Amino acid sequence: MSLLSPLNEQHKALGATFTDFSGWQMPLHYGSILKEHLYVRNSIGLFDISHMGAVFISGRESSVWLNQHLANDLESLAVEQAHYSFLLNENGGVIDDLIVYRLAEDVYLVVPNASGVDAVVDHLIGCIGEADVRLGNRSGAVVSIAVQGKDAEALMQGIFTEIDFSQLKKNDLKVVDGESDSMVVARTGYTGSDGFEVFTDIEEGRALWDRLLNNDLGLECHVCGLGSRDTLRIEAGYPLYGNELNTSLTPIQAGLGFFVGAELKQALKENLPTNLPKIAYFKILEKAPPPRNGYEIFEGEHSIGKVTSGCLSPMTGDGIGFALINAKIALNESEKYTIFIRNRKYSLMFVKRGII
Amino acid sequence: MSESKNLKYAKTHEWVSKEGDLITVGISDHAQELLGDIVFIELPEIGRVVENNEPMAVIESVKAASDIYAPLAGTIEAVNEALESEPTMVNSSPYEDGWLFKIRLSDADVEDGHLVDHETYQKDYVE
Repeated sequence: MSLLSPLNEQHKALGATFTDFSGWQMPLHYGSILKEHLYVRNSIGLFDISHMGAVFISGRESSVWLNQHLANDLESLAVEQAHYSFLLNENGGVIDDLIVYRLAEDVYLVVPNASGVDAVVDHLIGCIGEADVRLGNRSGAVVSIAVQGKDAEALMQGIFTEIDFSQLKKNDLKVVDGESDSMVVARTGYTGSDGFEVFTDIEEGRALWDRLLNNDLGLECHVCGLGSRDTLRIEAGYPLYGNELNTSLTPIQAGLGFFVGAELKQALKENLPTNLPKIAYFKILEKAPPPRNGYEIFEGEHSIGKVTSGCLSPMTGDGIGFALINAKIALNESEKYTIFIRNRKYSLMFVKRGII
Repeated sequence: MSESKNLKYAKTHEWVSKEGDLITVGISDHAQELLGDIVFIELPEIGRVVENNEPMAVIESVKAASDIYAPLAGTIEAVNEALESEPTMVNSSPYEDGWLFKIRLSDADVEDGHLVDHETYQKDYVE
């Protein structure tokens, strides 16, 4: 039996085609993945991301304690800000990637992937010991909505009049009162376009979903499913847990050392043999079929790795994606590398990640 | 799409329109809907000889790649080159602008009992 989002009835009424994602029945699309992708890039897309976890951490020692257990440097995270981080295992492998929202001095909302909630919660509870820390796992009881796209700010400003969105910078957040629960409103997202995420209780969340969709501000807001969420994040160069991240890869190997605190990064680098596989971002240089998971990448005649995620960019038509590579590679070399698709090789180049 | 009623269908969702010994092949409206947005189409080479039920083209949607099978044996006479730059025509017009290829049959009176009419296709393979 799949888990259902609190917004499931809304999705059905909107004609969603559903997919199973980490045990959740979530909208794959509402008619066209491509169109939904372009809505986000050109206007506004609305995503239900309630399958993601919602773990609240509080208590006098929560800051110090959380900083010991998550990879990014929490001391650099101000109140009313969010950052990307990781929970790592003893070898530095990624148990999950997550966003940490600092709601108040000693109150945090940690948002892991749907697939990672149990592992993250079990791991963190096991670490509490005598610390003055409380953990409340509200995953499944929170509606999480992402409002993403070029015109998202105008829409949010019309709905949340108590927030001055011109002052809310990327990764900033505000906690506001709703009818039945408070709402976390953050300028965060995973699409590569400007956008916001809102976390609140079920009743409040359902009402907000309808208000955003049927707003009277003259702003067209289109529902989008997980299909476009995937192509958007690939275009933006963002990793997906299970594809580019797993327990046997460190954030350094995944190319995400920027999100690891300085000391830990040093330690991970010291333990990192130079020949370990790593995640790289590529762009195919000729017209080609969509690169898909498992397709092999070659340097000359030698296979050097496999695609972990890929698509044809809906914005440019280029084949783009991530690959797990077992060799030293050079960026922006246009004649060395190829990808093998069905019966032929197409030339490819490794680039700095993200094409938008 | 009244014309779709006069076509024959393979159980793998290709439609076939026959004029003498030349057939035009595409995929059904039901198939394009199942696939979703089509982003890439690999068509066969003109002159290629194909057997009945041989995989000879690939349609790729955002989510998956699907083989297209030759519904009858013959030689590829033409392919719809417009699909290379506009593959979504298969979504928007599966029975007309979105046709895939034409096959000159090796035998105009070939046995085509494995192809079904529109009503049977709808009943057995769609609903």
